[in-house]
Amino acid sequence: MHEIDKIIESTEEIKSLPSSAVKLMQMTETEKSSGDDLAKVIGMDQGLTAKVIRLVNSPFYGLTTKVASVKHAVALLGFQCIRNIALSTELSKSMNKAFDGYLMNKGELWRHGVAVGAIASRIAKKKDRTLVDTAFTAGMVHDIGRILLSRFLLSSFNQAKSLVKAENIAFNEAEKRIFGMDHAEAGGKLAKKWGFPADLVDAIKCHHEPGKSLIGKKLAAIVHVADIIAINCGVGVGGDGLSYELDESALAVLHINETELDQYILDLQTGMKDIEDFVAHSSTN
Amino acid sequence: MPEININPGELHVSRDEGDTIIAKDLCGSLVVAMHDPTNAVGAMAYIMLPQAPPGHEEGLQFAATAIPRLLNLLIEQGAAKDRIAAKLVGASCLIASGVFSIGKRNVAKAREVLGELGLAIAGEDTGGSHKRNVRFDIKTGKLTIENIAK
Repeated sequence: MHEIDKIIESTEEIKSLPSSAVKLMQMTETEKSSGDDLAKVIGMDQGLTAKVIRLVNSPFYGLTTKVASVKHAVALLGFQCIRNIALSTELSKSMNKAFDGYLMNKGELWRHGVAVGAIASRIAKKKDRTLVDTAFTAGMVHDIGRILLSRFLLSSFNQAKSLVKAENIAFNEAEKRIFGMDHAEAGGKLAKKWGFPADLVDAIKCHHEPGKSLIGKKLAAIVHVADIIAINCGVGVGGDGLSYELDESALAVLHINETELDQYILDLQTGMKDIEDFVAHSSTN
Repeated sequence: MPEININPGELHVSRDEGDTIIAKDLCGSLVVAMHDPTNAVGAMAYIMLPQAPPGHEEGLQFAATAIPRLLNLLIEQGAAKDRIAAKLVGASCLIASGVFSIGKRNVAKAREVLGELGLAIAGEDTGGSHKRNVRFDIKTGKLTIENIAK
C-alpha cells in the first residue's frame, strides 16, 4: 500500500463526507435530478436549509428579492448554484479549521478555497460559461489534500522548507519527496474516496500541473490560475507561501495574458467583501 | 496604542505618535511606507499592482497612483520632502512565475515612481517566496517585519 493510502486510512475524520454532501455531489453527476429533488435533499436537514437560505440572501449573490425557501432559491439561482451553496456549507465542516502543518490559522484554508472558487467561476464566465458552476466547486475544494497532509507536515514542515530552499523546488514537489505524493494528488485520492465526479477529481489532482490533466485541461487550468492569483494576493496563504510554480500551459489553454491576470487580481480585491461574507455564512464551526 | 489595519488598495497617513499602521498577509503585494522623523508623520500604502490595466480607472491599489498620493498626504500633514525616508516591504514571487511576476513588477514600478519623485529608498525587504506581516510605528518610523516561515 502506498504511504498516502495508509494516511487516508489512518485519518478517521475524513473517511467520509456528511451523507447529504455525497448525495448533493451525485445529484449533479447524474444530471437527472430536478430542483424539487434538490430541495428535498436539502430540506431533510433543517440546519442545512437554514444555512442555504442565509447564504442565498447574503450579498455574495446580490439578490434584490428576499428568499424564504429552497425551492424559491432554486428558481432564482438555478440548480447548480444552490447545489454549490449546500455543498459549501457541508464542506466547510471539514475545511474551516486550523491546519497547523501548513501554518494555516482556523478558517484560512476555507477562505482560500472560497476565494479560488470565486475567481475560477469568474475566469470560466469569460472562457467557457459551461464551466462556471463546476469551476466554483473545483476551486472551493482544490486543496482538500491539505486536510490529509497537514498532520504529517507538523513534524516535516521544516524538512519540506529546507528542500524548497536548497533545491529551489516548489513546496508540492517537496511534499512528493517526503510523502511520495503532494497535497494535490492526495486531494484527488480523497475526492475519489468521497465520490466526487471524475472532472472534479481530475481538477483537484492537477491543480498544480494542469498540463497533466487527461480529462479536463480547461477546468484544471482555470483552477490553477485562480489558485495562483489567490496566493499572490495573500488570501488564505500558509507557511508554504508562494513556493509554487506557474504552469504557463494553463495560460495558453485559456488564452490569458498579463493584462487579463491583473484584471482578475482586481476582481478578487473588489469581491473580497462578498467572499468574506460567504465564508462567514457558510462556516459551521 | 491605536492600531490601524490597512487592506490591499488602502493607505493611511498619521501624525499621531501613538499610532501603528499594520498590513497583513503580504505576498505579491507591496507595502510602501514613508516617514518624516522630525515631526513624526508617517504614511503607508498596500499596493497590489504597478499600474491600472487599460480601461481601468486609477486607484490606490496601484503603485503609480498610491505613491504620489502618499507623498502629497505627508506634505499636507507637515512633512518636508527632503526629510522623508521611503521603505519597501513585501513583493514576494512564485518560484517560477513567468509572465506572472507581480512582486517584481510592483517593486520595479515603485522604484521608478520614487525616483521620479526624487525620493531615495532608505530601506527595502522585498522578494523571496514567503508571506510577511508589517507594523509601522509612527513615532519612530520603524518597520517591524514578521516573516512567515521564511
